[in-house]
Amino acid sequence: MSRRDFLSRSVKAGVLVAAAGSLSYWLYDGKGPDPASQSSGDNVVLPDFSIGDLGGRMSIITGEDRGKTVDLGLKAIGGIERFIRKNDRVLIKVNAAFATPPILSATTNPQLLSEVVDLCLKAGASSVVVTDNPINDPQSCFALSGIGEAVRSAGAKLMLPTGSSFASTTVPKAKLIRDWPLLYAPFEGVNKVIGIAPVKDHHRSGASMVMKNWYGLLGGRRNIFHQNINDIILELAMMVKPTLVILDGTTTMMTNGPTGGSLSDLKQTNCMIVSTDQVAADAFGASLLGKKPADLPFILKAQDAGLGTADYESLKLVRERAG
Amino acid sequence: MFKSVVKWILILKEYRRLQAEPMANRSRKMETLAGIAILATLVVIAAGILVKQSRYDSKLFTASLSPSDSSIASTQKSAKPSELQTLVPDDLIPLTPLETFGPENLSDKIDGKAELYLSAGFRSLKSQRFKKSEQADSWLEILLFDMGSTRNAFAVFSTQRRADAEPVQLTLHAYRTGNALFFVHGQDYVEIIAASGDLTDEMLAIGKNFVNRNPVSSEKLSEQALFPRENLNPGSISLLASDAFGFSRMNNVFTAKYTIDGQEMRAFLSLRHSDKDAQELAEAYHRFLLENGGSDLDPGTNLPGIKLVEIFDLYELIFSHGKALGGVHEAESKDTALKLGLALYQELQKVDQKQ
Repeated sequence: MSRRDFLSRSVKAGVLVAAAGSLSYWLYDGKGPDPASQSSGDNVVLPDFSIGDLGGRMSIITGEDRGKTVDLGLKAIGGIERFIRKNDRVLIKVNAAFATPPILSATTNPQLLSEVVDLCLKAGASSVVVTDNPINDPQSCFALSGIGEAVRSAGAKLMLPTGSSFASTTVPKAKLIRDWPLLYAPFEGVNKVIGIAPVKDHHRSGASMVMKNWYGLLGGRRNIFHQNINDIILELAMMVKPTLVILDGTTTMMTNGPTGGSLSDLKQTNCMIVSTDQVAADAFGASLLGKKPADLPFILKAQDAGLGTADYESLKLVRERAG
Repeated sequence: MFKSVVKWILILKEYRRLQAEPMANRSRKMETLAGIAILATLVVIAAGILVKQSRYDSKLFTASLSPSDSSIASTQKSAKPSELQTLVPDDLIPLTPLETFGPENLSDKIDGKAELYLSAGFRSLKSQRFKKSEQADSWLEILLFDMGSTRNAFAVFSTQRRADAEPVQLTLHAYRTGNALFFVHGQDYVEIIAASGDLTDEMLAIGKNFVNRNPVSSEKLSEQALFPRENLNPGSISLLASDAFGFSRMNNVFTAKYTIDGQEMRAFLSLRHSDKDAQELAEAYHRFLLENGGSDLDPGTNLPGIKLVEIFDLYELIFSHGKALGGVHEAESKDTALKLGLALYQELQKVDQKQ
């Protein structure tokens, strides 16, 4: 190589390096993302699925047969038709957290789920999707809890979480759920959301009911939130504004929750709660566990955040007995 | 002569230059081709990254707490029978593979209950489900918790003891309920949970197999013998590993339920490292009660160091005696608190006299 060639190539290489450096500098964002803009950037935010003009409605139906109590509970607050219209696309978020049998009541009861799916389809829903991101292996959870079979036999569609089911979300005004993976795929195209959860004791939060049930929509290493259990439940309630919630207090897990394990952890409390106000539903659920709303900080936090009321008696409340 | 040598050298150099020229040209072409190939590879890699990024999976994009997570959270699939499979009767076949969990991912198995085990010294969990050959709905799950010591295993066993527990002659600490068997063996806490109530014989057979094949000597928990027997509710002795009664410094505390004059309350006892430790902890717990709304009452006894506190219409009695911190928790009346507290104190005095 001649001296001339060497100098020429050196100049070219220098220009290339300078160009690459300039391009990198131009693309570099020294400030990082603006927290206020995160929810509208690549993040997804769940829309409000509630029916605003209905206001706070709640029914408490006593009885042993879940099919009858949920049916009567829905009728008591205006009928399923008030919530599910023709061609609605419904998502039902169940609690399928554990691969345990239905008799342990650690998961949503399959018979109750079947009944709700059936009612939605009869009301004209064009599709009903059932989902959860369980603690244990999803396939085992849906199979052994009986939920998978209930979904299939009732004519709904089961959506198991996969890697591509998640999208990053930031809940507006939240401190914990920021850029966090959300089980989003089941929400795509959906315009109504129903949460169905059992009433359970919970070692960390004191209780697991409808607000805690949204925990199953988070992905990633969500167990880190257990250190801030009351705040994360509050933010979950901020994240999901459902069309209605169904709290199954037919059999309550009184001790050793949320997994239980023994039939002796359970008590027949024979109550079905159907509500448009998830805070009110949990407030009543607390009483089934022998607690007051004040014993469960997440209920008061959710009330203070304007997400509902712990004073469920102040709602349009209907109490009836089924059968 | 010199001129002819120079001439030959020049001729030779010219010859070598002419020889080298095509080679140099070839080398340049090779370099160019190699450069293009490298650039093309880089473009393909960049395109691959762009495509992958456009299908960003945020679930996978999470920090791992430990590089060994994947090995800890393993699900073993092997033709060889698992450790737990060797325990089950022949008519039970594996329903799911053996799973193992460590402290980092225990909550992946038992969610919020993980804290109970972690605070008690949990080391690992092995679990597997088995079903009756012909009956899909008839299955059970074995959960084998390695708690590191008998004391730790007893802590998680005793704090979860079910109200209708039926004692089982399997180990010193064992009971069953309608669908499950729970016991402590050495440093292990074992749960066998059935999906139905018709697997009692199988559960007991598994428990016996486990105990027989793992001969260990369980640590004697001497505190249990120090509780007065009178008015003691059977099977009510528990060990609180940490945060007993909401006080963060109260760890390793045994409690026992008593029913006196129709009122239920708990006596508590914790053996500390030294007399001084026991005394300091008693004083700290006393201060904790006062700071949280309690008020001192005259215990009406001349025994040294006994404190009686009224808090939220309930009564707490606290004392230290040698290395022992003892007392009564949540008694409904002052008299019953004193009655039980003095009985416990006297038991400790008897031990002193024997020594």
